[in-house]
Amino acid sequence: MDTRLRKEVVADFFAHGYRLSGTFDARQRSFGDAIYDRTTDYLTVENAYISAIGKPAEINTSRPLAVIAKNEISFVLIMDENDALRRDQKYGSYLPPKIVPVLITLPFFELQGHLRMPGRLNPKILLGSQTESFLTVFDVTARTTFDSAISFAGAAALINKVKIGFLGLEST
Amino acid sequence: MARILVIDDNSEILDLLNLALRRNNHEVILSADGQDGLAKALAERPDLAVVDVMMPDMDGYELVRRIRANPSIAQMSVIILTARGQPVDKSAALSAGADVYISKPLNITAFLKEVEELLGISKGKKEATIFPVFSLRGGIGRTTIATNLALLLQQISPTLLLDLSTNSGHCALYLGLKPIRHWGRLLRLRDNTLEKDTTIGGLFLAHTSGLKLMAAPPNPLQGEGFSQEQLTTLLKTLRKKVHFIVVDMPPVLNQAAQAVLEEAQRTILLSGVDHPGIQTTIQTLEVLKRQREQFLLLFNRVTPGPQPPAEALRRALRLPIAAIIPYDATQTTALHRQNPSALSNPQSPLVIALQTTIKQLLS
Repeated sequence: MDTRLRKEVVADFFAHGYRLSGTFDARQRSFGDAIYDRTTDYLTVENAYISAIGKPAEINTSRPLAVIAKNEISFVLIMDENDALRRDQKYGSYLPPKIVPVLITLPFFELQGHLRMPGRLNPKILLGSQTESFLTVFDVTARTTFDSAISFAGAAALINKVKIGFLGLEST
Repeated sequence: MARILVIDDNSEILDLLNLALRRNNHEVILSADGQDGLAKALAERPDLAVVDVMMPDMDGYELVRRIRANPSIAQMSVIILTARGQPVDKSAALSAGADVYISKPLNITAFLKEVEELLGISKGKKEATIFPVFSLRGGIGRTTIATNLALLLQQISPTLLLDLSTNSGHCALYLGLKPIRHWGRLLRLRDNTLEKDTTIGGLFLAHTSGLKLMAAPPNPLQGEGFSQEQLTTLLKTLRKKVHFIVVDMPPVLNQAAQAVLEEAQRTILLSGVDHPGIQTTIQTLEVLKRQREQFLLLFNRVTPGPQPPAEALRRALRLPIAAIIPYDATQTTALHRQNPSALSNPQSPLVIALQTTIKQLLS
């Protein structure tokens, strides 16, 4: 009998005009740890249900198992922010985080949400100077660029930096 | 108390719901996939089905569509339970024919409350207040008023819009809902079925705002509609299910209309401001002398032009006037776009007038 600890995280993955809903087994980590982990380029998703983003509620097909290439993902939407945070992001800090409203454009989407920055970081260097492939944005609303009535909301989004068209900031 | 079919490919969810529903004295039937679930629904005829969306052989939306397409089980209440928790998913679930949409992770207390609401078995619930929107003159925006009034009341408390038109009612159309279920089906059933909560609840259509609609038959009715006794029984059942019932009345004084007027607390008597409109209102009040005290006058101007002073209208009709809605060309276009003013334009004169009316109805 398989007795290893399972921690199922249900998430929506957006890539190449498709929405894939499925369950990721994060085991003893969080989903954030897994997607930021640079030692693997893929994520294995169970019970994957695929829709085209033009008709995001219509299930085109489903597969019990799907493998997703991390570098092809535009963003992943998570309902519980604890699942999105990396282990190091969960530690407390003496300084309160700086909340920075952002607008991000991605293929087929524009996202609005908040960055939580430690006081010492300048958000302008986020895309250029940091080594992580993804960016965590909180309280996210994502609208499709071709139909603003189609929107998705989540507690957090993990955004692939190389897919970002522009990152708009309201303050620094 | 009720027979509930749970269809989910996740064995943990099946176990959890089995335990929770049995503890609440329900008989539970379990199924792990869509095909088997549909077969069990046909064989066991449960009162309620709880359906997961993401299942391998047949997704939950397709399953609900098949339930609604089969006349023998179409009236069953359906809850869609899914990990896909986006607004588009809720809209898809309700469009497929679900009565209620619940997103995972599952809050079992909230789930059981929804089950009780749907089955009409909530304890200690007060009976709903009935507000008919009535006019014997057609073409003065009765359905527009009834639909927007119901949407505004829904923002206060759970509301049902009952479309009593016998001549192809338009409430479903204005709300962007397909009248796949309607009260016409009740006319073929035995009278005692009208007392069965689960049968009646299965006929509701759900709007994304939470408003429930009991639609009129899409085709004009040949012959009589409800008898006075039938409608009184139906209203008694409906009153257990929501807090407010808005009735879009037919423009006739048939038996069904009289039953509603008998049961109503306050009735919105809708009138035009032109001479024929005022004359019809005066004659209506003459015929319905007994109900005069329950009427609240609402004037709706559906054409531009000069308007008689409110005082003159009050003197002519000797009744309190809730509001006079000025001419507003956007009133009907909003409805034709299936986006009523109550949701799309809360600052419109129509919505402001209806908010004033609601204050008077509830005072």
